Amino acid sequence: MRIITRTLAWGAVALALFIAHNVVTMRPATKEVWRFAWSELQQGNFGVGRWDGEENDFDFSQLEPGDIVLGGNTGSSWGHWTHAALYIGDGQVMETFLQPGTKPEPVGRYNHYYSDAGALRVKLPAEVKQRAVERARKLEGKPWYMLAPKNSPELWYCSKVVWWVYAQEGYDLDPDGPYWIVPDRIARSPLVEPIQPHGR
Amino acid sequence: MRHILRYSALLIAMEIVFSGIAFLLADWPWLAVLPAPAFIALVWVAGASFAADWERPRGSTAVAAALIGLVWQLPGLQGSIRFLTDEVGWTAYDGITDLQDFAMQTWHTVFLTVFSHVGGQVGGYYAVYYIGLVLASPLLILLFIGAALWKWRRPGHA
Repeated sequence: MRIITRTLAWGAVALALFIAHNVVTMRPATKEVWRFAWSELQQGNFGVGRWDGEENDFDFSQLEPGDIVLGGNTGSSWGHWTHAALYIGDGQVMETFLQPGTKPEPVGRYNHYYSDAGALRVKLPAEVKQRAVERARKLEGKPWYMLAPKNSPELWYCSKVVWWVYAQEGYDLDPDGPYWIVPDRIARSPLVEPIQPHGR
Repeated sequence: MRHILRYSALLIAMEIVFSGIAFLLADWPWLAVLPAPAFIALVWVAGASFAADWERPRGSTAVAAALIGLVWQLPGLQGSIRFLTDEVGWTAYDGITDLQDFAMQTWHTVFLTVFSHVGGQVGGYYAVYYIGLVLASPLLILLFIGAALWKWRRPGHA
């Protein structure tokens, strides 16, 4: 029993120090994300948002490898865009969800499961974008995890995949960003531009 | 009853602390694997320790250990049950489903850092790591019961 309680005590101390450090050094952008989540919570919006069954008519035919695809439903805790993925060519995006993990999926699903859709072009040379695509392909099979730390090479969420493949090339899509790289912040990055006005 | 509550609380605290440690180590993937075997070993120690404290017949020991397991693994077990009921068609995906999966996954963070090294899919849709998360709660409960019964059967135990 004693070994268990001692291990727990040391573990609890480490966790408390980590939390205290993060609260004290919290960046303004992190506060912004928390404030948004809190204001949404007060309106009864919590989690991934609600798909109202209404599809969108966004045209994905102009996509090039390395473009960023966005999907949005109302009532999410983290912004207008609730999901992001990297277009890898041949009508497929590399995306990550909890149950299937990180894997290629048809881009057409963004017309069916989101009431709004959009796409961003990254303002970088084609060879950089191709290398980003190659990096994304190597992430297939990796787990989705809501709390994934920014620098963990094993745990992912949708917009972290998009951010990371470009960050590894030396281009940070969210340079002053908070702990979480939310899709809305990627959409506001100076390194991207919308391909066309979004679906609805 | 006091023993059951005490061990349930202890195991809940253990899972939270070890998941927190695994999370803190997530930037170093191979280091983040270490909390999981340590946690499993401590679950075994806790099971044996419970049986030593619990001076009752074998059947009662197993039931009490199972009760502790159910209380301790509630956050993970609800996700496992949801997965099963979804698979057999008793429930359908809705807005709360994702939150249930989030809860199960966060609860088992200590194992997620191990499962992240295993790729592949099961049944064409589910990732291997997700199936691992679904199975983790029942297996941990069985481990705790097994450790308690192992200790109970050892010579010298009342």
